[in-house]
Amino acid sequence: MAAGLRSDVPLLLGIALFTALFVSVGNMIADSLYGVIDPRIKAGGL
Amino acid sequence: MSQAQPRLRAAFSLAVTALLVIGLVASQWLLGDAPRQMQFDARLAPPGVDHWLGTDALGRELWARTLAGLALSFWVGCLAALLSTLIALSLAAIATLSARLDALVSLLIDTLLSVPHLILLMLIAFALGGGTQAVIIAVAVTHWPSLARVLRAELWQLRQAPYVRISRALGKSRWFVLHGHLLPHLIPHCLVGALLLFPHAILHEAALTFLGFGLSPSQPAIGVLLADAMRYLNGGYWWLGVFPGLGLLLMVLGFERLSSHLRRAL
Repeated sequence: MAAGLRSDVPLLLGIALFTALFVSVGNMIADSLYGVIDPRIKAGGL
Repeated sequence: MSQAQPRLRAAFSLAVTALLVIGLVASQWLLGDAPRQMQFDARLAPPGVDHWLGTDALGRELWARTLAGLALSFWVGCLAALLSTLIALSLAAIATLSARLDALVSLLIDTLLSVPHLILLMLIAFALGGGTQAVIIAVAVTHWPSLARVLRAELWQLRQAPYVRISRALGKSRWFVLHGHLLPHLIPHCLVGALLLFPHAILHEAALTFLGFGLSPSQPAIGVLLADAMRYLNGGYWWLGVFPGLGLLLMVLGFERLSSHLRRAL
């Protein structure tokens, strides 16, 4: 919050980067877990 | 009512919510100009018999303004939830067509999910110039990723069903399979998803308006009322903030309950 108000750009960039990283990795893990939980689900087109 | 009757509970919840919404919309039709009428002899009047929920700094009745704000929120939330459900559904359907398109849609979802909602909302609403239309578009454009992920996962599972594979093997096109076999299965998910998006849309609309990036201050929106109330909070005029906030809370909770009941019933 203080970083946003004083426009501390490196810190904000770092926060944005880590959020993006966490979201991407989390979604990737979730996608690969679909296949583990239910073996009928396979990647690929229709 | 026991938990063995999810359909009955859903129907009950649906009836109550529908009644409230119809009352809300009808009240706007009946009230006419009441939310804008000023009474200068009754400025900042506390809640009482004459002024049910009190009046604001210009002597406008707070109950009329709260109802008008809720009705406005309802329309904005409805349109935004509908639009973002449509976006989610079409993107999830596109993602099913091929692995490459799926990667593209996943990238889009991840990008939108990793940016804080409110900042994106503010940027889009500001870029579109504010106003009701801009708020609706901004909320619709930012709220679809979570629903799109759910629909996409559901489609992944359905894609391997025997009848889908037989249909493909018999030479039906991918579009035909998508339309005829897959999308009908998603209707309950879309319904519940839209109902779950609706409270989010309303809350974000109010937050956006509260911060001054949303609806114009001349409209009796909930966010405008709350922002006004903030200025008079120090003077002890509590009713300005409490009643619009309570109205918003009730509406959000009502729709939240309705969607959770519907999810169990469908």
